[in-house]
Amino acid sequence: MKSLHNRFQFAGREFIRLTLRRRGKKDSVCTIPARIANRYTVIRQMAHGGSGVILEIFDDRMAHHLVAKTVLDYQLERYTSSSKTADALTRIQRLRHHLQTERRILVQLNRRGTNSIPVPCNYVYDCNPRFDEWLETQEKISPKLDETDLLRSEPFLIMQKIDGISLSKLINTYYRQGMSLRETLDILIQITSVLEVLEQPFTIENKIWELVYQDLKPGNIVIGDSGRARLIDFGGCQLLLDGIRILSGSHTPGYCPPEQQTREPLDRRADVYGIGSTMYHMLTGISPRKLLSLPHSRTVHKHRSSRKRRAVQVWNWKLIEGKYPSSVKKLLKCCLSPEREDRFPNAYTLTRELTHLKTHHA
Amino acid sequence: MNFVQGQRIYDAIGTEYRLLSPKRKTPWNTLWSAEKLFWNYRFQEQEFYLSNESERLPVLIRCPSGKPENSTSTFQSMSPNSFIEFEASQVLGEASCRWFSQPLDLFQPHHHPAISCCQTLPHYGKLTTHGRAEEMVLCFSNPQGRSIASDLLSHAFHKPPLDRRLRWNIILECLELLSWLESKELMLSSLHPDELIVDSHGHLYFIGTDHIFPCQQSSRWRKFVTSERFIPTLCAPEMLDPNGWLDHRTDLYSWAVLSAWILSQPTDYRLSNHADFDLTAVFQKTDNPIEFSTQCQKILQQSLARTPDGPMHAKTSFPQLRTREWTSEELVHRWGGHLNQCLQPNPSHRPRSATALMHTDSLPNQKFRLKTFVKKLFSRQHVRHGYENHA
Repeated sequence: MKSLHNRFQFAGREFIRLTLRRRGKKDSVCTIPARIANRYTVIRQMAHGGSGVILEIFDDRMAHHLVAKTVLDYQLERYTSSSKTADALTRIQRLRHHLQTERRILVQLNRRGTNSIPVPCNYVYDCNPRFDEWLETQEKISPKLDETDLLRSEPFLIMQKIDGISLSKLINTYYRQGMSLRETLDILIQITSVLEVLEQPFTIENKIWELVYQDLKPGNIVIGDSGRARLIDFGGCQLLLDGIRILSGSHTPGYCPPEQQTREPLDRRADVYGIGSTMYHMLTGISPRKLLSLPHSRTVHKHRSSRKRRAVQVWNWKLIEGKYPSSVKKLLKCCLSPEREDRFPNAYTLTRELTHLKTHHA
Repeated sequence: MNFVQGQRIYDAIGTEYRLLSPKRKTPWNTLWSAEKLFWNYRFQEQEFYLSNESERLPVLIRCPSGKPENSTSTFQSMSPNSFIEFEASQVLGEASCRWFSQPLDLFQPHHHPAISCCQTLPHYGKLTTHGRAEEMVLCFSNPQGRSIASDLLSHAFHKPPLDRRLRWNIILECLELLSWLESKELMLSSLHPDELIVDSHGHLYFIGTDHIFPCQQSSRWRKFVTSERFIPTLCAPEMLDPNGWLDHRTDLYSWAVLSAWILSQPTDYRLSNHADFDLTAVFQKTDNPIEFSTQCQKILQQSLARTPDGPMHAKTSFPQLRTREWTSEELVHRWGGHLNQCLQPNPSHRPRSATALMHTDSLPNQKFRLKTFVKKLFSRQHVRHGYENHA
């Protein structure tokens, strides 16, 4: 949590300057209006990722706390010379496109009967003075920059604030020895049912959208006070439009499948693997990230490349054996198979398997 | 202001909604099924365009019906916006409640005689205003699911094992909702099956937040809201008495009626015809015209026929209820005493509160252990938002 003390005035309005710390990289500075779209007062910075920032805001009209997600870290300092203006514009457009796509995905999931996601409340635009500073440094403005007002208008995705505790925090703080099978299945069945909806292709503007969540991990699951689980952060989804990959999305080392390293488009079975790695974490209390650095996991794998390893090569099954029924290990092995052909074909099948396990063993 | 189907309404900064169809109509307000319109941006062409129908967010919009002619309700004729404003600020806006919808907007809509008004993005285009309504409208998210009175759920009620899970979930969550309202010093006043939505996980949502009011102002509230607002068979007798005293026990009566209805859900009954539903008649008549499922009817009648002297104590029955999934018949058998107690015409004979009824559960079983555990974490020092540390 970060308090927002660094405030300044610009064009008669109050703005906040945020410093985004990035591991192993230079800090990035960005600005946000203290009151977004003349309606949402910024309370605090909650988190930031590669390029997005999540803010807690207060809706003055509804007297309600919400969450705003926006793209602020454009790293414009890279594009100071006029020759790089086009590159800068491409990056700005790409990041804003991600945000818009996230809102469109949330709406689609909501329309298809999913309540276990944040409600997309609004999508608003407001001024970003950082572009003014940057534009002044450009000697020659591209013709496409005529609409500078548009460029200065920063989009903000306003979402429901989910009260709850992150599953990763729950495990790391209170379930270091792992959760019970019943609790694990209760949560995962709720999540796989969201994936069931997500993996169904849908048509928008005569184009077929195919989505893979691909960044499934306990950190993206929030548990409410009633035990209701919700999946958050759909900005990391892989999107195929008519079979062509438009967004490659994001992933987390340890939780992602081996094929993530090949840069080929992923399919539904990547999410099956994500469920498996999350389930392993929940049952054992050990993050798959830790297994990445184990000496015995240096088994040669066909997907292994010279790049940094992202997928776990060898899972420690001793932590599962004896503690849980053998069918649990069988299910996990099927989910975590390095060959995607050996995994469950989709979330629908996996939900049925998890439900069956819950009925008979939990 | 009279809204029509297909009309688009928008606020001063261009947030826009389209009304689809009235979901529930009363003389006081209308609940519309609607959709929130979004504008997409084409990055290559650098232009905004209105999202098509498959990309609009399903929402609900509550519109007050204005000043009704010959209204006996003083409050309604005084200020049609007061109820809406209270619901927005004190009920939906007060705190996140898992049973309520997400509040989205509260505004006096600008309107246009034509069904489609804005052809360009309001932020950048010309916003033509053809007047502003006096009444405010309240927009909130539409929980995806089915009302428990729907045909689909009626069918599910007879499909074991879904049957027992569903019934148990709804009854328990309703009681938890009452308990939550008690903690906020609010009253529900009536619990209608049409306003209870169940999603695919069996989670419950309540959309009838318009008749929630503060407990401490119940006598004042009674001056403004007449009994004609409520369905006699679904609310406590004191609700229908203009001088009746209202407190949390009033809600317990409604809960018991609803629970009894859920447990005795007949095969061919449709709640759409509310006038036919006479609970007293159901329990008292031996030649009941409505067919109950299997043995449920007999047990229900037997249980509810008990005298209030010997109700089954909650302390002994609740922990047992939670240890396994009970059939409807067993639930009725176990809960008959509580329901009977809650259905007493005299409020003083009912349990003290929903919270008191809930707190008798001292032995949570495995199924609810996580739930109880997470609840404990929700003390001030432990409340954390799920987004933290993970963008």
